[in-house]
Amino acid sequence: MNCAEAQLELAVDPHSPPASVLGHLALCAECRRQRESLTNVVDLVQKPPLPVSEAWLASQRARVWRRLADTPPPTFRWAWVTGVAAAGFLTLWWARPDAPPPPSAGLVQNLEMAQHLDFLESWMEMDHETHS
Amino acid sequence: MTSENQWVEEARAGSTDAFGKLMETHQKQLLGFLFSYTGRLDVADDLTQETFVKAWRAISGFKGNSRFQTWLFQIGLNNLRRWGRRDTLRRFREQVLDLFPKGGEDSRGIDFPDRGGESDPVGRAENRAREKELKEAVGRLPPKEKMVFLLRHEQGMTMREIAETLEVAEGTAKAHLFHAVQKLRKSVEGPQ
Repeated sequence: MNCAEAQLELAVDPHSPPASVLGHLALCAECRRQRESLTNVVDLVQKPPLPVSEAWLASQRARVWRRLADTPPPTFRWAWVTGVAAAGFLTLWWARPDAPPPPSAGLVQNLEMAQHLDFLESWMEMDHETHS
Repeated sequence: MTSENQWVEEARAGSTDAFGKLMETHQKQLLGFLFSYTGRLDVADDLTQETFVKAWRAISGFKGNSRFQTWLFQIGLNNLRRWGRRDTLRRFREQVLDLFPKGGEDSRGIDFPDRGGESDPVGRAENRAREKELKEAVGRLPPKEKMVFLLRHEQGMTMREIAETLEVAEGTAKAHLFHAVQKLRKSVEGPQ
């Protein structure tokens, strides 16, 4: 085991490192110093006392159940939101004031006929010019 | 089958009683970790509730490949990350708008209890100063290093459990821990 491996293990548990680390520590003064230093750091950490009582914890559990009762499951909620959004969009789309009416079949036929007439007129003009 | 596994099975089948027992078993540790991380009880309370709400809704999909605690903490850490992003944005906004007076120290981090056993007042004062320094240094750690450090040295989780909770390789979790303790050591001892 080298120093890097030993120090990685010491970070996990400087108080009771595995036997392989202890073997390395017996030979390495720098890692022994590291161990002492890390032990001091870890010893400063203590679980902070939770500033809550058992009654508070019970009330928190009750709040969880209330939240579950008040809010529908997320899939249902998203389906509902998507449905409302889609319905709103379609309503606005159909109700917009500048929406042109859809073209009727008759209008389309007239347009096609007009295009044919234009073509005939230009052809006749060309023919007329050639004869004259 | 242990009683916890039994409760998990029953909760998966829809038993609110069983889920209530699971909640009671893990509530204190989850709340304690979230409180340590955020330094705010109101935030830790909200995140704990959110975690249990999500856990109940997702429990039918819990395969039991890991311990229930690991799975629960995974949900809790996801909530914590989301809160962290929102909190960073909130802090940034506050700084930009300069709405609040400066000088209030960052209260996030661990609240170290008073270690009143020492009779030497000078030694006690020095120790308290080091504890304060460490608390601030923990608050400055990058999120992953802070999570791993608190889960290991405050909550006493094994490296395997931490790796499963964070969904990373055990070696990665160890590397995060190594970097965290090195930074903390330097903060407490000063540059050498």
